Amino acid sequence: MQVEDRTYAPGEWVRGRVEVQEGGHSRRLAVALLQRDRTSDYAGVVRTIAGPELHQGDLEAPASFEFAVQLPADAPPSYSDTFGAAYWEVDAKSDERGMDTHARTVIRIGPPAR
Amino acid sequence: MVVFGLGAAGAAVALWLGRNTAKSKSGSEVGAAVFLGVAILLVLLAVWLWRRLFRPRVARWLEVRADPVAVRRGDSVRATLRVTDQSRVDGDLQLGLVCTAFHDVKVHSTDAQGHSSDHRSTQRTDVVKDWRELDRGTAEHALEFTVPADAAFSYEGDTISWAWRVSARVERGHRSDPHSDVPIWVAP
Repeated sequence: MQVEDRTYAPGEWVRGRVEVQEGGHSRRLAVALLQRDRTSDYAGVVRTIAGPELHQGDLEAPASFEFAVQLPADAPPSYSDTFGAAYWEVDAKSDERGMDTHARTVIRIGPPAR
Repeated sequence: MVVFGLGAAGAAVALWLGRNTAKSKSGSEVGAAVFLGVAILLVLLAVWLWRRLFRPRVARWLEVRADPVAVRRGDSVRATLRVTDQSRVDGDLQLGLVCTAFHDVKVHSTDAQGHSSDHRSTQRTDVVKDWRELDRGTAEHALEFTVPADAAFSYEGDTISWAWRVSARVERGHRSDPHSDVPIWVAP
């Protein structure tokens, strides 16, 4: 997955591309934004912003899908300290029978404008 | 103390159940009543000691206010404190701005049989502590605090949360500190 490497503002669109490098059975390919946090021992998902469905059915390689997902206006910025971190991630998921295949990329969110 | 209380309760039950076969039925009943009374007293004493020694005490005689209660990082908060009963200030009187991180950690424990297990525990750590000493002889205080621009913002997450508060406390060394808090919301 390729996402522009920069700091995003809340409410901004996150644009990128999912490259299929290996084909296979799939029900659908979709992208979502995940608001996550973690400590040294645990990680969790606080909120999921569903993005567009990029493809339905089996995937063939090579293939490329562009996407755009909008961050919510109240998205908390990325932050970390000694005890943990709050951050956002773009998650491309191939929904498959059994274990799904994911490609994930962490993105930086800046504070809202004053 | 709780164990002795439960023992006394057990003795009361045993005496009560065995009163019909005892030499003196009334003696058993009186004994059961005495043991029951001792059990209740011991449990109440244990609860009182726990509350007194270990549980942080909310001091209603410390009236704290924060204005505004919703700020952004880098903004200032005006904190006011009114001590309604100065005779209860038996330590260092302080007013502060505090941010606490509630973070989940894996705790490893081993029982008496040697079985080990992990469980999730939420620990709390004060990550911003701006405590200021106050004059014990003065009843009303007002201070201005600035939320650090690079500090955590208020956040309620899944594995970690950060919570801000304006707090007044009486620091008393090895005893629990009476305190009074006003939560504030710090936006990014």
